[in-house]
Amino acid sequence: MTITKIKKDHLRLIFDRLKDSYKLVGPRVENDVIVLTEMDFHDIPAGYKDLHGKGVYRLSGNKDSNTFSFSLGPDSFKRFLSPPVREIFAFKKSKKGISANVSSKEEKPTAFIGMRACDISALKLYDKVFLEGPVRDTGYDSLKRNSLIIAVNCLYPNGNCFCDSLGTGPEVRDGFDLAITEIQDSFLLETGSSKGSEILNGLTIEEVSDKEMDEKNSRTEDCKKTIKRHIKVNDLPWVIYRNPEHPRWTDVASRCLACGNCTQVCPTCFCNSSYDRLELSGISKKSREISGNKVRAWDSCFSKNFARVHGGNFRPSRRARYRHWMTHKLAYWIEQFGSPGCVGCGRCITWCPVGIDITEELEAIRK
Amino acid sequence: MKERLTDLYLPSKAKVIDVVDMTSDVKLFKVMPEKTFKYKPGQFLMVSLWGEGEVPISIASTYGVREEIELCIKRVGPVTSAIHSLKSGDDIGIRGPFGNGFSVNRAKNRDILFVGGGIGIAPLRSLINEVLKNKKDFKKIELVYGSRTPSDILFMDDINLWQKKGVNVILTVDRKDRGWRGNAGIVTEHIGKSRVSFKNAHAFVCGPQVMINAVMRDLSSRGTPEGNIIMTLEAHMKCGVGKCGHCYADGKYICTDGPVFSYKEIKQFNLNGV
Repeated sequence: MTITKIKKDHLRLIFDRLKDSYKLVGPRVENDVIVLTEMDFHDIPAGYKDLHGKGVYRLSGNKDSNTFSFSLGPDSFKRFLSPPVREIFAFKKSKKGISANVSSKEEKPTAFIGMRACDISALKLYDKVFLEGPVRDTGYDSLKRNSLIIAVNCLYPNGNCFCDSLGTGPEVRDGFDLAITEIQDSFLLETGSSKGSEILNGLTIEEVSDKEMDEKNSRTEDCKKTIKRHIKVNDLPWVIYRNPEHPRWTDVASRCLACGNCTQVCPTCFCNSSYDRLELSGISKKSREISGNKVRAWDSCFSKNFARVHGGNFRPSRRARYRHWMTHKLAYWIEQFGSPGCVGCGRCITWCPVGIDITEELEAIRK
Repeated sequence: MKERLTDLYLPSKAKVIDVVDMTSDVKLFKVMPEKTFKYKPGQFLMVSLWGEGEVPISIASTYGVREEIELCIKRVGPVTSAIHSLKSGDDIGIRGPFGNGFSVNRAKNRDILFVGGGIGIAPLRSLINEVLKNKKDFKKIELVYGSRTPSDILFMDDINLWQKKGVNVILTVDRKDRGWRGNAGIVTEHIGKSRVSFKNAHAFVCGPQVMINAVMRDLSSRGTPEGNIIMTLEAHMKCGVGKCGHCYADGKYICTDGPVFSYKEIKQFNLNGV
């Protein structure tokens, strides 16, 4: 890994260069929220600060002259690598029988801009879910391989961040093509792959001085110190396994609305459903023909029918569903994949309408 | 070739060649897949109808016994209702076979006890016919099978054949009718009549959740080792291949780590319904 730097106003050149071969997806302000969407250099929410609390999010602009002082919005990059709704194939049934057609769209590769360490760690977990096991999810695989990751090192954590406790941030270590660190007068650039170095070919890049390295390191240390929220992981998964009947599960269930927001904003929640989507125009009573699509869409273990089978439901109560979600994140994952399924991004805390805080809930079942 | 998501989800075609009415709400579908495949007892298929949806169905036939695949399907929801309206000549979509399936290797030279309830006899039928192919490898073979009423007993022809081949069959019903002279009550009330040596036997169990739980406890109390009590579990499934998260229970995917588990595993992973 090599580290170089560019002048602050040269960042735009990297964007210009990327645009030729990639679709750019990154942070942009929409309706007072930083979302991830197709964007360009001028869309970066430079100078914006986001305030995060339990069930609280406030965004304000013109706060400082930094380019990357904002943190995370509700979107994570799973929105693009495992899209919320995805057509798998189109089908048709007629007198002649059934048929299925795969529409293969050639998609332009995507450059993901401004990915933070927590989200990069989340993608590593996604790799385990979708690429390991008896079958590989080829859809995810091709989207992922077709992408470029431009990471940004976090220097200003928000009030709900706890990546440091899980070792998933705030610094990016691997899993990126290019990583940006903003210091006073320039952007430091680390290349993590040959694709990453190619982007810099021909740009005026300069050497990084010892002083600037020190600045990077001290800013990162300062960032770690400003992380307020923590989670204790040394007794996981056992503390959860030992407490399946803890009264706190009933307590949290009385607050939880089972809305599923936490699962939608979580960058590691991957559960999905598939169903048949019929267009009204695709049904002909006269010829007894139907046509439609098989669709795969995000699902949530908080929805009532998630674990329903005929004659019963494995998790009929909110208590059972919350416990399942948190146990999956902080216990089952460790056994199945070797690390917790939580990366400490804090999104579930910010976007919970009643402000349930996973770090607080875990602490409570320890008592 | 460009890899696509459809590799996971695109079903292959199968043609319904015969439909047998078994009871008021159960039909047996004999289907001929376009592409033939090998399968094990206890494995399942994802069966789909365009526009209706997809459901996991365990295979009731035994590989190598018949060419066609047999699916024993109870009408319980929208998809199974749509399946019930199929006739010979109709097409269905199938994916699979999925799941680990039963293994009888460890049961060789021992007694085998099958315990089934209701539609749970379907995957057991696949296994019983597999075991009977090599009957001399096993000692006593017995079946305890519970149904709601005498007219809900499935695979009576097979049961008669199994008895002729030396399987001791104990039938029981929840509700008797006029003509029924046999046992009544739940299966656990009749397991004791079995002549297998419980301490050495291997048990294969399939049925409703409550029955499975009761049978596991009963057999365990009779001294059957927990690793020898084997059952197949049911779960909500969407993909069948460990990617959708629906059947996830206590660190295991029922679809790929199961659906066949031992009582030992079920206790260890707390799989039997939280």
